[in-house]
Amino acid sequence: MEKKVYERPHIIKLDAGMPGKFGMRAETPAMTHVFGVAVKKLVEKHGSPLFVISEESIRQSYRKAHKAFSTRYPNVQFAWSYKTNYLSAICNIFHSEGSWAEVVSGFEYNKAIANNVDPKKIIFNGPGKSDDELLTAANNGSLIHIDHLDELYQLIDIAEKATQRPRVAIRVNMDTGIYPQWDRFGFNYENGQAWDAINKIMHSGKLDLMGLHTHIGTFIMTASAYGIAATKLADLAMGLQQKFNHTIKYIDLGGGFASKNTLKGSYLPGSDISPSFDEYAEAISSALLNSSLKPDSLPLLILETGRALVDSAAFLISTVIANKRLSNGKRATIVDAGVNIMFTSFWYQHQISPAQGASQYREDTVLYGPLCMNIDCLRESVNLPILNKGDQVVIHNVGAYNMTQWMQFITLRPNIVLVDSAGEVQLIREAENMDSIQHHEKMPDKLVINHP
Amino acid sequence: MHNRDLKIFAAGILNSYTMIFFSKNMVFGIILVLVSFFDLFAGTAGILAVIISNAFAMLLGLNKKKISEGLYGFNALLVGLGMGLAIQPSPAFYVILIFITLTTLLVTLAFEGVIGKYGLSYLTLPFLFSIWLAIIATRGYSSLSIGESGIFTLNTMYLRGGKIFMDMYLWFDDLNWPVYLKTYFKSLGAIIFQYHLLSGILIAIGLLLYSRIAFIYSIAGFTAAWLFYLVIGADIHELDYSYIGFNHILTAIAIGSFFTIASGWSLMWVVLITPLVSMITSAAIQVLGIYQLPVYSLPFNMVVLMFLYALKFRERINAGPELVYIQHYSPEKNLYANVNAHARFRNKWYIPLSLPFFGFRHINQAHNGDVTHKDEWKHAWDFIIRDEKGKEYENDGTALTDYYGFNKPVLAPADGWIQEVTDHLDDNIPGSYNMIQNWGNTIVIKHAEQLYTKVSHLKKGSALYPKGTFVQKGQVIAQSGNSGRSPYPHLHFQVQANPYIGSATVNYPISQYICINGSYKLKMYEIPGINEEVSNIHPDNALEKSFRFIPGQVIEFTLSDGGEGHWDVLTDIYNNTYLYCAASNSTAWLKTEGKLFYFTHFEGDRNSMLFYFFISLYQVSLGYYKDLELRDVFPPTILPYSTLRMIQDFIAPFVLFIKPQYLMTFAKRDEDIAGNTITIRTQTRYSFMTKSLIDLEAFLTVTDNGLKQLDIKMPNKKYSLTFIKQS
Repeated sequence: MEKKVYERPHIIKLDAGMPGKFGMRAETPAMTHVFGVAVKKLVEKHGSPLFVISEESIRQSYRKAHKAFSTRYPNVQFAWSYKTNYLSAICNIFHSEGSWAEVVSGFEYNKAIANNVDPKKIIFNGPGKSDDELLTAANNGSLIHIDHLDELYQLIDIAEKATQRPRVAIRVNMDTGIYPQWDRFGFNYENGQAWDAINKIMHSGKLDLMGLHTHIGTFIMTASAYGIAATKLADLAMGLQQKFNHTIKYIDLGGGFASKNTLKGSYLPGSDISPSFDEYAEAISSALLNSSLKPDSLPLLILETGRALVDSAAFLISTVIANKRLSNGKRATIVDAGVNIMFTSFWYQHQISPAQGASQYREDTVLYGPLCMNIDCLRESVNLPILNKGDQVVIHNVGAYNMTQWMQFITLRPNIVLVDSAGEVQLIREAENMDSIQHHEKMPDKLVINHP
Repeated sequence: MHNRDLKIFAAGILNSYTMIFFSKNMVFGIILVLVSFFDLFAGTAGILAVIISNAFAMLLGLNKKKISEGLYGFNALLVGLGMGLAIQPSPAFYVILIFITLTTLLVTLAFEGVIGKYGLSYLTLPFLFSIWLAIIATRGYSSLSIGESGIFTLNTMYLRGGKIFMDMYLWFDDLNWPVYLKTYFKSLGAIIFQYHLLSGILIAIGLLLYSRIAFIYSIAGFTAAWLFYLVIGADIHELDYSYIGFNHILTAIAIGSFFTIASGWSLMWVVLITPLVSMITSAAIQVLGIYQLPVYSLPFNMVVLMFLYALKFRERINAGPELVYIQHYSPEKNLYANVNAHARFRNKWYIPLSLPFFGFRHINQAHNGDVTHKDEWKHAWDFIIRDEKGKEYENDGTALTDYYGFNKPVLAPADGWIQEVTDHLDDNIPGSYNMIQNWGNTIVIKHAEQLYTKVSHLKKGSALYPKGTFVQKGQVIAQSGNSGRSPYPHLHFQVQANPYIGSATVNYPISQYICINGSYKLKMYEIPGINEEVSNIHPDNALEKSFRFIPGQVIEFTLSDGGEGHWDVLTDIYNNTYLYCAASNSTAWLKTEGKLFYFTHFEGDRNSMLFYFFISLYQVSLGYYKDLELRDVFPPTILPYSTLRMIQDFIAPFVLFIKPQYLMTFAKRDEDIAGNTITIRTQTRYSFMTKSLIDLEAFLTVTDNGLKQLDIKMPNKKYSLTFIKQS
């Protein structure tokens, strides 16, 4: 029989909490292992906090997503959204599954090139691209998605210098029946900007219009919005066919598929209400198949799914630094991972599991990070068992955006390990040290302090 | 007359001679003209008759192709030769010749109309009717006197050729060859009314040049007759006196190698039919004797027409001997084309059905399945979708949406009309059945009379079209579901001959599909089996575009050595598309079947670039699949003529040993959204006893703009073609 867990004596206020539709919040079982590797061992070897990513989990979600589309539409291509997670090892897992690269800056573009992605399979999005970046992308035959008219004119100029005709697509924003309507990227569909931009491209005669792109928003909880977007893009494609006898090669529905995380303010957990890949695929492919596009010349369907493919493939292990009681009697636990490395805790109520056994008692707890900043709060309210200093917690669904949006702020960034398909733990990003930060700093001579 | 018409006319004259032997071989034609002039008057009358007949044909505006093939000349020729031999030349004779020839042409057209309706050839029936008419009619024309050349042969010889000619004739006549051999040659000569050895030998040489197969069938037919006469003790002088034995020779060539594909079967029928020819000959001699009319080729005509007509009543149309459908006027070509077509296009009668879904599916029950595909419903497939681990669902499989195979588009396998739709049945929860409406939601599509396909266990309410709607191949018609006798979501697919839900299945193949089995395999007209992962062929735009030859296009290219050329894409009245190279007068016929491109046939210059193009791209997959291998076999005719080819010709009806092998693979693909660049590698090889007779390797690069580059490597030469235009 397993040894019972000792918990220090404590008093908790009898509180049934907000009576929910489903009664009391369920307790989360202890999570002693992540991806089959003991949390204690991982921390022992790689320190805490520690990001743990699973190769197998990434491949599984990719294949599941791909299957959802390829069984419904004859010609599907995923492009890995670099900004979601551009650790080279992670990118290359996606590339090895057949993903292209979707980048939004010159830096990301170079990263994709460094990862040996065929430049023709790089989609260059984003509102800010320099002349040099555009010229390189044009010369390489990468797919440049034009965001605004100034960029369109910029590209027409660059086309003169480029060794080949720039391959472009326009970004289209539109009303898909959801709120908020994203209208800051690309050209609007309803007011005719998009059609206007298409005409300008076709009349310029200097650009190869390869496709149409839209990015309707992020964390879209309604699959049907994609159906509306696909229908509108198909409509533009038909217009191009009719007016210019020009067949586009692809329709890019961008990203925005929701992951299983729970948004702050959401009544139900994300794992229950986020649409599945099948629902998105059904909406998009039936919209395209039912459009006026000819069945024998259906354009390639590109998806820039990021979050939904990688979020659940990573956990963050963090160690308890201290416990305290707040003035209102609420328990607070301080862990060693702060919002500087957990950017997404601003949006999500991340699920948090204790990494070791505990009694059945749970207490509403505030989970703080280690930063000396008021904002550093991972969860305002989470039911956790009694945790001792040195215990670990496991934070779920942290694969997307954290490892790119994180900050070097107050503390240094920790190790990231990958549990590969064979179950081996590989370090894929080393923790930062003083030199990582100091390296780029320059000290004016007169400010150097020399002790006599 | 236009230059082109002159050519037609000239060809028509020569072909009228060779058409007697079902040939269009020029050398053979010249030999026959020569032999016919052994009797100057007969020869003159013969050629005049041909010219007159073809001139009348032109005047009437008959089909020029038929005129040029000699189809309106050969009966007149025979009439002319016969008349020229029988009647002394005189102005009156030539006047009569004109009208006898016109009569022959009209009789020819009459027979073409009547017999042609039954898909038969009129052979030399017009000749028979016309010459009998002439013989009887001219008996009353006192101005004509009977020709003597046939009677006083030596006199005639001396008169027309001097002593040398007569001596030559005598020398041949005195040759101490076996009677059998002499009779064979004389019988051959008798076909154009020259009953002597030299004519026969010359004709035999011509026949051999024209066709080895026809030659051996001529011997086979004659030998069979000889043996038959010996065995039954009939009057063998029927063969060696009036040389009526030529009926056996022509019959053997016609039914053994020309109208049918030469084979052991056709040889058997030649032997079986020989006694019929003899009996008809004997009987006809008696009957026609009453009117003092010669039998000529009557037995040949009767037997061949009866036999060919009889073949049309067969139920097993592909049983031996097979009829020739596309006449190449050469037993060899007919045979090789037939064998080749059997190997390559044996399935052309099927209506091509494709798989009713996008992407790859796993077959967990195929024909003669263990579970439900039994008895009357044994020819059916169940398709599911599996993940890499072989599971067909995610999570625990308790919800329908856990199954990959649930709610996926179902496509029409071919064009057709929606015949039946059931769409109201609930989808079962996984694990349960509906045994009452066991087919569940079902759509039956009618593709042709007695060809229906049925997809079952569809999702409730997913059918997109009502009864009677016309749907196109590949069009989405519903979503897969779990209704009826379906414990887990799967797509049931079957072909049936009747329009009802629940009709018995029929065994019908899928036209073209890709099957993963370690590597990609392309299957044609096969029945996908259990546990296979199958998909329709997804064509690559670059390949599709490059191999889409539209009549009217011109393909221009340059050669690495500085030369250049162009081919025209043309089409004929039978809707066959071909590439034509005017510079070398070469033609390569092609076709596209589904997602495969084929070259079917080549005529012309074996050293032309078009020939290498034909060899290099004999068969090409229009879908790119890594490691895909396509194999094919060429007919022996792609090799230059040699002793080996000659040996092959002789034994071709029985054994085909020259089989040049073709292999196509994909060498490279540069993926590009603007259009892929694909390099195809093909190899053509044949060696006999370690001696390589053909060894050609080709690399063709295609892009979205069409053909780009063709590099051909042979042991002793190399060519590099750069395509500059395909429009």
